[in-house]
Amino acid sequence: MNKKKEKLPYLSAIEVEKQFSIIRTAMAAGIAILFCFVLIILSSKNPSQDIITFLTAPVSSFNRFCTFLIKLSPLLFTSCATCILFSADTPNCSVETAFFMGAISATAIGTIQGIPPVIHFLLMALAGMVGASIVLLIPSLLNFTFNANILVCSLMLNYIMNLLGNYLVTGPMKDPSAGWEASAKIATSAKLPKFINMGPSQVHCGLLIGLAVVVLAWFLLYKSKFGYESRTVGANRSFARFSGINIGKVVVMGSVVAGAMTGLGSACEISGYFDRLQWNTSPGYGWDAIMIATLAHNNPKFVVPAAMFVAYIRTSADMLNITSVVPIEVVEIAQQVVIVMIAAKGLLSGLEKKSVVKNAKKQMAYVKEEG
Amino acid sequence: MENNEKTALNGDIVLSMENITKIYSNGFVANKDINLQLRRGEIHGLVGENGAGKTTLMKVLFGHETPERGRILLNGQEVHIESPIHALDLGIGMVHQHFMLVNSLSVAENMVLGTEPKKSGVFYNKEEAIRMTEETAKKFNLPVDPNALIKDLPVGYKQRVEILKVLLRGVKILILDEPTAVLTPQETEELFEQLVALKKQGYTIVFISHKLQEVKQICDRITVLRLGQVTGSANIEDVSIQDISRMMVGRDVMLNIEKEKAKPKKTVLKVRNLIHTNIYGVNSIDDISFDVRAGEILGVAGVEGNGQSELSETICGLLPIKKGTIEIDGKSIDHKNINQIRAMGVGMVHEDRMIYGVSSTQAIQENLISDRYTTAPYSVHSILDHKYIDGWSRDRITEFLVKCDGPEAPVKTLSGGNVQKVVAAREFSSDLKLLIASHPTRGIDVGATDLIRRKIVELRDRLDTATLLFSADLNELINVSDSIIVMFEGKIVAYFEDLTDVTPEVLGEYMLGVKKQDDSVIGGVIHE
Repeated sequence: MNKKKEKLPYLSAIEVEKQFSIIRTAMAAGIAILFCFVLIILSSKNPSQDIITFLTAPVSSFNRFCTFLIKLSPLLFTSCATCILFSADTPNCSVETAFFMGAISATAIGTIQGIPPVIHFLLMALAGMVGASIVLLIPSLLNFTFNANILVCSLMLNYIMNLLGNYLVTGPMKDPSAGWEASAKIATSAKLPKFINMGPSQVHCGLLIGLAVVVLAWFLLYKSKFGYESRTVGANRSFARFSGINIGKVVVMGSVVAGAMTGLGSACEISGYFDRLQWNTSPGYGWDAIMIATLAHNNPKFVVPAAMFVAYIRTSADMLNITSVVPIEVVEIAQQVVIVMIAAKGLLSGLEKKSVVKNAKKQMAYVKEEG
Repeated sequence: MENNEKTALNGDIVLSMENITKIYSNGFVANKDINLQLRRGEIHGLVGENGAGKTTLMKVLFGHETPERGRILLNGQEVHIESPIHALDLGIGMVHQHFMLVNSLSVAENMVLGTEPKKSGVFYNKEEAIRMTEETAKKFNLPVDPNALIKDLPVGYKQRVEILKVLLRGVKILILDEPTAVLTPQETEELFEQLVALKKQGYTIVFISHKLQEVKQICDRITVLRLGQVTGSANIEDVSIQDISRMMVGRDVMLNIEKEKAKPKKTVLKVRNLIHTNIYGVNSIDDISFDVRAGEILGVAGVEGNGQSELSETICGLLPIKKGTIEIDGKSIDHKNINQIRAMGVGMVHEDRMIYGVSSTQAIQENLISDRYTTAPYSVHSILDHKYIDGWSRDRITEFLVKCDGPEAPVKTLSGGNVQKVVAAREFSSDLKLLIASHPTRGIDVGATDLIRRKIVELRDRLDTATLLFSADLNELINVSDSIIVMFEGKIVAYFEDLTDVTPEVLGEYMLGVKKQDDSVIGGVIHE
């Protein structure tokens, strides 16, 4: 075992597979961006200017870069939660409204006055975790007890939770003195500090917590017992069961862990970025997370670049929305294109096969030569 | 071509495959430069271990796979076989190892499936289908009942329908992929008679097998494959079984396991009055009782589908106990989950290894720890000890001779035999009190088979493991087991405490339900 792997003149099929997985991902992102160009050209009055804006907006000024970081922050939490759920082959799509419910329960604690500073945020985060976990547990428990389809349940649950959330924000939680539909103000004792605070350019500490969650999620999935169980259940359920793994427990645990991550994200977002909770519907971070997790092959290691990609084009689209007539929906379309491209496993399969065959022939020749 | 053989007396060359190379999309080179020639009116044995490329080569011939290189000549003319339908049109038919029949349809309906005779050009002509079936059956002297439903038929009968089905399509070259794998010795004899009759009528038959006894008995010529390459072609009278096996494996093999007489100790597995009723209300396990003692290997013989799968799955905890009791070391396993049953010291090899035995996309080491990752030293405080697992996995790979790129390689990159070695390396590497092994060597190469059989005997001698061994390979059962029970229609119909005079033929008669031992003899398997 002491000698290092010598470099062989050919690639194994696994290496070719890895290579093509990278090419496919890059191609998906590239085509999505091209798609955006086409849409911008079609809808813009000043296409060249708008394309430049689209490509460079988030890095064109420090202020915009901060906007980009702020957009990135919640995506880290929801994407890691989705990675954990999807790794166990639990297609639970309720992260979207779990984030909303997490925000509502966090707000309920965050608006209470008179709790000491650090403790207040911790309580708020805990409330967010519990709220989000409950939402994610519903489809899993329905699946566990009644063998209900998780995908269908979680999608339907999103409607229910959105309506419930809307009712809570516009009804019981509404602050009559606010003047618009929003909760009471988050108490100063519950606010997260800003780690960038230069006039209008501000980024809250949620981003740092988010990065820590990414590391934690990776550690959980690839280094812990829980992650091994989840990935095994996801890879082959029958095998997991026959090996003695308790599948129900793994799925429930996964929902709780994913819920905790989502809820922590909601608490950070509400306490770090907003003064009041003013969403009357879920903000879409759960949907983006599905795409990010898919791009990242459910591996938290790749969540940061994938989330940056999404946050980047979202920031660009926001800028375009302000500076031109290009509609913000451009980005929505581009995102769907990416999902379809990534999901299309057959994409480039012809080329991949050719590469495999070529390498196999090289290997045969090499083996003959070396004996 | 240097390997053009002289045209033999027994027939002209009807088909030749030249320089066939097939590479699968996972990079596996299944066939390398293979040459194969078939003559009219011969039974040609295509022999090799599993994974040697026999089935792939035949899939190329039947239009299932497109080769990367090489050509096929049919009656001297080059053909490009694009699909199985095209192959059938060219007169090449294949009977697959797993029957391609619709269970809920009748024999006649299955026979004409895809080429249904029509009434007024629209409606299915049932009478015509029955007539065609009867005519074909008569012509080839293979009687069948056209109105019988496939699901009611025994395995040998189903195979006859499969053969008739391709004959009905006017096929001249018939490929049989391991046709005897599912048959009893008696059914095998019957099949052989049918094949010889077909041969005499000028049909060419490709007989794929790794059972050398049968190849020697029925084939005229053979082509032997090893690791995707031809290691030789020969007339059958020129080679001995030892020769063929050497060509297959590349070395001499002794498939007989040397073992001492068992010294059974106290009872480990105790099954009493077990009944399992399937979803159709049939008792697939019908009131059976037996014991397996420590230091003893009890073989279970039986034609597939006579309750063996249900029995092994019930003991493993995959199926609930409906009636009766199962005790391991005096403790009932009723309402225990698989984890709890494993914790009692039970190792389990499921017959379906790709579904229950391994998780093919995960690394070898992840497959090796699936039944022990919760305990130290594999994990401490819920964190996996990767360093320990890596070293331990390397040891297992060495011990069980798993051919791989290391413990990180995904199981899907391994051949069938090596996959089963991974399963064995996991299941045989704890302090086993009881081993439930279902078809542990089915479809794997001779080397792996030998290793697994030796390990089972070693467990018996080293740890006094009680083993319940299910196998369709009767020679394996007789060779590895200490005693054998035979199951027929969910019941135990025979118990052989001593195997000195037991042959596959003897077992076959009980497996088919022709004979049944007296209850007092069968009762001998209960040691109280």
